[in-house]
Amino acid sequence: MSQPEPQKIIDPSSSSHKKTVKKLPTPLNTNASSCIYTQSLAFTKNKVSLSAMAFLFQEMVSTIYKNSKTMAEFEAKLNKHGFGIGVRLLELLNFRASLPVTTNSRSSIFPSSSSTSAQNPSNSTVSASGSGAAGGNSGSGSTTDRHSNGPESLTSLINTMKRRDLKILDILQFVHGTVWAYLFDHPSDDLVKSSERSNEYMIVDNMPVFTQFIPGGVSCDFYVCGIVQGFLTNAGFPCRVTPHRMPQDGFDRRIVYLVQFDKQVLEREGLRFGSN
Amino acid sequence: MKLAQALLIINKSGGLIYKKDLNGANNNPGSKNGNEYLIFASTLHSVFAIVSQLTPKSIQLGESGNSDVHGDDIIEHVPYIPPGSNDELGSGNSNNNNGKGTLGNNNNLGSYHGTDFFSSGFRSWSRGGVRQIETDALEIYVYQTLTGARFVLVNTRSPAAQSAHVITRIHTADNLLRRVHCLYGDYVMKDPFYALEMPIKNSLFDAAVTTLVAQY
Amino acid sequence: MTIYSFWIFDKHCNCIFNREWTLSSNTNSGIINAKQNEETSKLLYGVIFSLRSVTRQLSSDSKQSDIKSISTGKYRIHIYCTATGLWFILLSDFKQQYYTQVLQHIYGHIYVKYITHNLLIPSDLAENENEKRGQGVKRITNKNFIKSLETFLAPMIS
Repeated sequence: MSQPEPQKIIDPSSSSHKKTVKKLPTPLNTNASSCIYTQSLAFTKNKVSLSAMAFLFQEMVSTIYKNSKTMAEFEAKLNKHGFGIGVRLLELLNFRASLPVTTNSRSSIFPSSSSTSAQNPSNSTVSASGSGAAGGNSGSGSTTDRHSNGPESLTSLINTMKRRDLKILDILQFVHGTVWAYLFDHPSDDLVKSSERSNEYMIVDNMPVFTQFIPGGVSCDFYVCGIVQGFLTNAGFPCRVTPHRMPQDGFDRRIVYLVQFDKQVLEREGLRFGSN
Repeated sequence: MKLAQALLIINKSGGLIYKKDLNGANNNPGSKNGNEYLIFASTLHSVFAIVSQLTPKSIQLGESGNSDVHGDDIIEHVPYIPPGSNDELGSGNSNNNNGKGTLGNNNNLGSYHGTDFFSSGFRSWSRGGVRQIETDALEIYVYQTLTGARFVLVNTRSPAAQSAHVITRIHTADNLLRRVHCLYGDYVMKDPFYALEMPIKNSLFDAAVTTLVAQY
Repeated sequence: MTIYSFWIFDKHCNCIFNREWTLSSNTNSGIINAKQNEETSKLLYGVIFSLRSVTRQLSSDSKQSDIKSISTGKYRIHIYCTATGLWFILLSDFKQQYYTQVLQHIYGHIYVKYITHNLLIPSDLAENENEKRGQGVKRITNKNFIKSLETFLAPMIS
């Protein structure tokens, strides 16, 4: 009996709701398509839902698993998927490491950066947009800001580009610290040089983020191995990376990523920096 | 005091996909070989559909008319009860803010942030389905999920637990089973090698359930 | 606390008595002995029968484990099974914990008094084979029994 009345109330509001929805897509769509290009390359603390990530990873793993005949093939494919990420990370993280401290909160290579940012007004906009993006709902205003003068101001900030890492230890430190922090929000738990073989290094992770919900062996960790391998190989340190589970101190998911550099890497290192 | 004797997960078609004896198999000589649980799972599944048809006339009349069934809120809205607050179960008073119930930081909550899987009350998804079955020796609690999977807790009756009101006991069990559901979401659903609706054989899930139940 | 309906089943799965109250405000509302051969009684019997047998198998000492209550989100079924195979069943709201004593009282003081001790009522309502296995049509119509039951349960209806 009382149905017509609520319908009247619902109808106009729902139609007006539809109108707003219709209006919205155009700015939203252009934003979404160009977002990845207009986004600042500067470091922003972006958090990703672990659940969403895990589901995505799970789906990727199961798809690869279905299409693989052998375990070795499966691991190789997973490795290859990670490899591409490692290659891109090398570019991105090296660029970020070149940015002064205001935009890149982690590296403190440039002690004078704070004063330069105070003098240059464009710096403050970059740092503001950088911090604002972490909030997520900073709105379209900061996005357009970034779009208009973001890229110029970012490159103008760089006084000295970070030099390429030439030593094995330097590049491994970078992987241990910066790469791990970028991927997993914390540096890796240990970085060890093998005492038996000179070309072997170990990166230790007590609690692997990607594979924490996956029971059984270490096959799925070949993905992270692929990232490390892609990163190192593209940096001029061709190597093989394999995962090994070594439970210790109550961390029964602890994984050791064994990095085996090719012979040429050691030879080059010996020639350039003297054998020690 | 052990709260739980066995934990079962029943999939949406009535198959038993997970069974865990929580007291240790050697503890009770008449330990079930699983066949009983299989039958139990399918029986429970069929009973679920029937039970809602048995809803008494006077409730049906009350629902269609003005909804003055305030009582529904009591059982459908489950308050948050932290794990380990056994006094909740024993004496029925609600001093659950004593802090000992929180899981603490040493516990790995998987993809969940904070100190516990959830921090507030929730609405039960079981609408008219079986919530609890009591026999002289057992108490069985059923937690229904939105996807149709059911989490079942089989529990021996203990005199200490009897003093708490039945609704409090249902709520405590719902809290435990919801936590198991959270673990299920992490360790079973995110396992790339798990086939949906199939029996769960997962060491990580097993271990997580064991640690969780140990707090009760 | 509210009770919604009351049922008696005999050992042949026949519903020999049933009483349902439709309005909690009116103790005289509802129906008596009208649902025996309806789906409802068979479903109720089936639910209890299957859950009873299956929970018996689950508990470690089956000699002394009988089903007492089944709770849903809306109501609660209280069950009392006698040694003679009679089932006394009471549907109440879910908040009520135990009605075992009530059911025991109904059995001991009302059923035994007015039905068992009454020589005019046969001890087994199903007299021939056709009336066994849930096909029985006979029911308890004893006025004294109904009156006494009504008086006893009336305070619990609202």
